[in-house]
Amino acid sequence: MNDQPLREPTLLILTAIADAPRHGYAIAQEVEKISEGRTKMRTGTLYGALERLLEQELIVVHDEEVVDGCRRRSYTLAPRGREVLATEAARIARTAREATRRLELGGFDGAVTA
Amino acid sequence: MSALLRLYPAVYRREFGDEIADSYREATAGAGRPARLREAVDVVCHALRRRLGPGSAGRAGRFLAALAPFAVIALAVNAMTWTRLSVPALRTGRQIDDIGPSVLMGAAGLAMLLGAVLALTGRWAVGVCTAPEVLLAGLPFVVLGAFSGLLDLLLLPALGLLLAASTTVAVRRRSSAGSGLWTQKGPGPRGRPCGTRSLTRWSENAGLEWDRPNHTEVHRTTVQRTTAQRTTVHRREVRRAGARCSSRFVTTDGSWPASNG
Repeated sequence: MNDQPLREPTLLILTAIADAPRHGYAIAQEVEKISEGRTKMRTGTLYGALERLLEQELIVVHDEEVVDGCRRRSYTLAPRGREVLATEAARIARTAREATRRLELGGFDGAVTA
Repeated sequence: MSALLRLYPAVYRREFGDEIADSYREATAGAGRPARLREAVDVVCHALRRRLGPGSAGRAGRFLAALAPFAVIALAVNAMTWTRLSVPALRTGRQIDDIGPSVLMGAAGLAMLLGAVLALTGRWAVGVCTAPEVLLAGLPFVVLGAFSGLLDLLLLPALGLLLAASTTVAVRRRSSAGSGLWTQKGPGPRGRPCGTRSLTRWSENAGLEWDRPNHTEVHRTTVQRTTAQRTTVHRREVRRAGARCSSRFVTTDGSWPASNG
């Protein structure tokens, strides 16, 4: 994994399974909830992303069960995914803190004082 | 849904088909027609990406990804030219034989222009999903063109469209080329359904490690899997409430590690 920030769908998916393993549709629901409805992951998009994250070893299959004759897998963070997500969360938090600090400085409101 | 699943490559369908069908079913349960249509379009686009897509981890994929905006712009210009050429023919055409190809050419040009505009304005998936529709709509024109010397007029836009589709795939799939799933790399038979084994037998070796939360027994163990490329250790957890097991252990290559069997 390079040092580039995670793209938002990746960040949202990793966040969605950070606390507990989830299966496909549950991940989509969590993503929508976390993003406050801004991001809705449809089935094809979601599985494209999950496949990519499996390839990158950021997530792993946690469990697999057979429900009504159909296989259903749940996914969880791989150690590498947990590390990447923690790094990204820290980066975002640093940026947010700095943005808040600068805003609280008050400062320039568009008027030039002599 | 089964018709949509058939759009996927067979190996991928065996690997993820059940899950995709399950997720699609849940996503569309109680949904209106537009929502169901959007889900279906998304699955179709994903299936096409699986069949067509070069990954952008490779040089070719990165090259195509960089080329994508230029390809779409070229396609838009070409489609505009195509449409403009067909309008005078429509105005002056007197017989259906004369105007038939022009109508098809103009319609295909407009559809491609719409797709290019959608793609350029950020609706990549929607824009590129016009590709198969346009190609399908243009099929009669291909037949007509083959007999009237107009095939060369169709060739460039068709190639442009395919290029735009593949570059979009490259942009959207920023991972390595090929499927690369660890389940498909191993020595086990490709595409073979997962083998299963009951919790009882597995738990003889796994043992109970902790008993919370939700008063659920959780058995943890690891599965080590060695392939030609690497050794991977997967931790598996199986939850059991009382005498009822909520899941079964499943290996993905149809076999069990000898040390646990």
